[in-house]
Amino acid sequence: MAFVGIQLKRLYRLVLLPFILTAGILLVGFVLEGIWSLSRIRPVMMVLTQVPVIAAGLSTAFVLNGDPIVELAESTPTGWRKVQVTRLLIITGAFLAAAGLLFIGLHMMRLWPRDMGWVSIITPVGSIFIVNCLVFLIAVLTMSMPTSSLASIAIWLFLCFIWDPYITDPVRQRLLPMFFAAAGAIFGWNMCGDAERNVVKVAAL
Amino acid sequence: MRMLSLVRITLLMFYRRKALWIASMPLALFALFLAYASPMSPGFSDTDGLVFTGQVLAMFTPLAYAASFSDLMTAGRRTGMDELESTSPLPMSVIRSAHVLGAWVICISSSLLFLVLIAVHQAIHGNGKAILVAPAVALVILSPSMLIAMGISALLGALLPTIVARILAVLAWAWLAFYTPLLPLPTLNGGPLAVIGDPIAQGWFHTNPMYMPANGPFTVQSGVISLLWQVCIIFLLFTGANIASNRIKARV
Repeated sequence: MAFVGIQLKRLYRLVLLPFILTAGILLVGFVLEGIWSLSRIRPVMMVLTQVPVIAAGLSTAFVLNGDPIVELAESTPTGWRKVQVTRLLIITGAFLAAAGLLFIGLHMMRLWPRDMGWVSIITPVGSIFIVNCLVFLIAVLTMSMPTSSLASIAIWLFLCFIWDPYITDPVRQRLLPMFFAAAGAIFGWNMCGDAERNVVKVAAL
Repeated sequence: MRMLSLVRITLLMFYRRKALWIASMPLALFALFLAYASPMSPGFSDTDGLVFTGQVLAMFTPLAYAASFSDLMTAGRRTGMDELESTSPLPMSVIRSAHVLGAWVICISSSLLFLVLIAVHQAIHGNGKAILVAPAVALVILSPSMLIAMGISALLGALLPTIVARILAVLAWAWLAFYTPLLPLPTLNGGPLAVIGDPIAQGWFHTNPMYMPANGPFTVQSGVISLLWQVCIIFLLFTGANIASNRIKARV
């Protein structure tokens, strides 16, 4: 637990980011609700609700890469994998909580795009889970921030423009890719346990 | 000659970043799928289709490049590489342009590959002109958009904390490329100052633009204006990023 505290202290600014985004989007929704018609707010909200997903992927790519002391972590009983997974869980937890709050707020204001009742919460929560799991895998594979950032946007692009418009049932839309993402994260978890590989990889950069 | 060898070395440096190449392949594939599935799509079978595909690639792939190049000008700071570089007889601006050129080659190569494949397919089916159109589209429509996205990323990355810069750069590109007329925001789309190649596509290749031009169809002249304007923006963005990154204090 103390270990989580240390990582939290290191990342607290990034943990605040999703909540600031949520507050900002809710504020925009609250202000616009009085001024604009519903048909005009909808597209704005469709764009704004994608911002936390982009931010989640990029933040995960940011926290999982660029740490120069992999060897040091591997030489302690803690190990590099524990460091990485703790960071991943902190960021993912923060973004999931903020996305949940965002959905509840917008659902109450009836501003959530394509709202099908409470089951729609799976849309933002699922996309953040998927993006973060896959970015974790790519960060383990490449250990490079530009590549992970690029991949996070590519994954989001796939979800937002290719997957979502064609598979509209909210449960099927999220469960299948979540299954793949979890499999990818487990694969990454296994690979990240290889101390030799981690050290060689960071030395090669 | 020195510049050429520098470009060669930078290309080699970026050639080694295989992960970035591999990641940009699916990115270009997704954009290709979007070009194919779009209701506006003229299909892949003629010159119009080639230009349209180039434009879709120019709208979507820079989203990812805007996210990933925020340390283009500042990466050297972290390792002290820039101190080594500044002792070389070449001016820093030349070295940095070589870095930008190398990154640009990575960005464009996957898209160019797919455009050329489509062109070859068209050439086999009797449209020989396509072989020339594909590199032309890559040069005048795709590369300005990519360089602008990379420039936004590099400039913001030199001015702001990394994560803020990355998110803002993506949003900035999203605004430049996907403005919907439903929002009362100012926009560049629909005029000759658009950065996604509409004026060039309609003015030079006679295709339908993505966004309806506000003052009648684009002509050959608006294409020229658009290209010059984009070159100006690219120049300003990278100059700004270069100046801003020189001012960053090295973290010791």
